[in-house]
This record gives sequence, structure tokens and C-alpha cells, in this order.
Amino acid sequence: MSVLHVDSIRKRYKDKIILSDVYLKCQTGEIAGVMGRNGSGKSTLFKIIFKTVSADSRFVKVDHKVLRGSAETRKEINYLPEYGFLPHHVRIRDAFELYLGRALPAGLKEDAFLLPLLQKKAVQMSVGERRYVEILLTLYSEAGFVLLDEPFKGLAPLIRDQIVHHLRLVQPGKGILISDHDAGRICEISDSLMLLKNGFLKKLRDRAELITLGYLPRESKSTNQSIV
Amino acid sequence: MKQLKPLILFQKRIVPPALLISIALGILLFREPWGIGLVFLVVAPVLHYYTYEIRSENEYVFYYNLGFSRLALWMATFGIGLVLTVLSFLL
Repeated sequence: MSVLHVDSIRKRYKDKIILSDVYLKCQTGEIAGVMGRNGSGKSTLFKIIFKTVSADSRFVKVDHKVLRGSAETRKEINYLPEYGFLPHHVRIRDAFELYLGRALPAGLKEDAFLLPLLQKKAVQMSVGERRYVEILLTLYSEAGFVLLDEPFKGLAPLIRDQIVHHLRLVQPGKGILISDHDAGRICEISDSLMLLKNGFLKKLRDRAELITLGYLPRESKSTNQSIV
Repeated sequence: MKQLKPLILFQKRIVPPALLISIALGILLFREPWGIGLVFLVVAPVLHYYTYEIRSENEYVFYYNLGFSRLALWMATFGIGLVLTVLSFLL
């Protein structure tokens, strides 16, 4: 079992502190949900961990290996940004070959949504189909940890369920940090929850704290009951 | 070979159009084979910049996840340019 440690993440834009001494831990087999309002710094945090954005201070390690450079970070951690990243000219089968470095695992071979897409190029697919492929590429990649930034955004409910199915399939061998505004689903699939607010990342004791800390509105407590 | 495949995929959007432009401009401006290499050395980075820094910056993440840095991808573009220039001078 591996453990991802992220510590002392500090980031400031001009006078505004975005992230203040953020610490988090995620281990293989764990899905950790990172919640936070728009602009709270969730995406910035993921980008700093993945080393596509610089930070005032950053400490990331997997087990005893400190990940300083971008190349060593990306061997251990893969990242799904909130925007699409699939090159338009790539054939989906080739993309899986590059990311997986092996034949499709059983979970993907039996995926009725994916199979018709394998012969297509990304440019021939809809935005939702491309997003689905990007999520599967990231999830099934060789990296031990994955960062998923808003994976459910803009996807049909059936596809969202399918993503949860794949998350469950890969979960035993991976540590997953996930951020999305679909609070219900994140609470349902996460083993631990964190809330990013005012630059601080707070580990939540229970889901009800999402309401007391102001992420979910108090007024609609009845609709929040399925979450808490 | 495992590291080469993503690079080939990345360069597919740069090398073929850069080569066509370089052949046309190289013959037109210099009327010598080395002119093609010289033009390619300029055109390839310009196409790289336009394609990946302006039009499709998001696509970098696809290659980042495969272990490449932006610097490595830029170095590959300049490397191919240098090799082609040297070859064109040898012709």
C-alpha cells in the first residue's frame, strides 16, 4: 500500500492567499473527496500537486519518495483537468495503448459505452464521449494516484453511474483525489471528505459539516438529507 | 519505443505541415536543399507555438500524464529541426 502526502502547499496571487499551508493524505484504496465553492482553489491545488502550476511552497511525496520534478511527479500521479485534454487527432484505441501500456483490462473490454468509441478519433466524438474517455484513461493509467477535477461535469446521469462503477473497479489499486460540485455523488463514493475554504483545507468528521461550514445551504436541509 | 510513440503523436501536428511549408519557401527563397532545413528550423517552432501554446494548450496534459514536460516537448521540436537542417546541408 502506498501513501500520497501533500504538505505545506502555499499559493498567493498578488495580495490574495489562495492556499494556506494545505496538508492532505491519501492512500491506495482510498477515494478522498475535496469540496469547495467556485474559486476556492481546488483546481489550483490539484495543478500544484501535479506540478503544472508553481506554488510559493510545495511538498509532495509518495511513501518515502519526494516528488520535486515534473517528470517524477507524473510517473506517480496522473491528472484529469476540468477541461478536455484529448488531442483531436488521436484514435481512442491508440490513446489507451499509450496510457495503459497493455491490453484493455476486463472492466473496459465489457464497457458498452466505450467499445463503439475505440475505432474513432477524438474529433469524431461528442464532448461527453471525449470526457468519458479522458476519465477512463486517467483512471486506468499506470500511475498509483489520480487527481480528478470535476469528472461529472456535463455528463448524463447514466454515464456518471458508469464512472462510479469504474472508480469502484480501480479503487483497490489506486489512491483517488476527487473534486466535483455533485455533492451527493462525492459524499456517496468518498471514504474521506475535505472542504477547502478561505485557503484552508479542513478534514470533515461527517457530511453534516458541509452544511455547518456553509458549503451546502441550510434552507434546503430536507433536500440535503440524502447527502448527510 | 514506449517514449517515442507519444512524441510521434505530438509531432504529427507539427512536422508534416512544417515540412510542406519549408519545401515551398525553401525552394522559393533559397533554391538550395539547405534552404529547406533552414526554413524548417524557424517554421516548426512557430507551428508548435501556434498549435499547442495558442490553439490547444489543454492538450499538453495528455502528454504530461505520459511523463513528458513542456520543456521536453519543445526540445523535441527544436531537435527535429536541427537534425533536418544538418541533413539538408549534407545533401
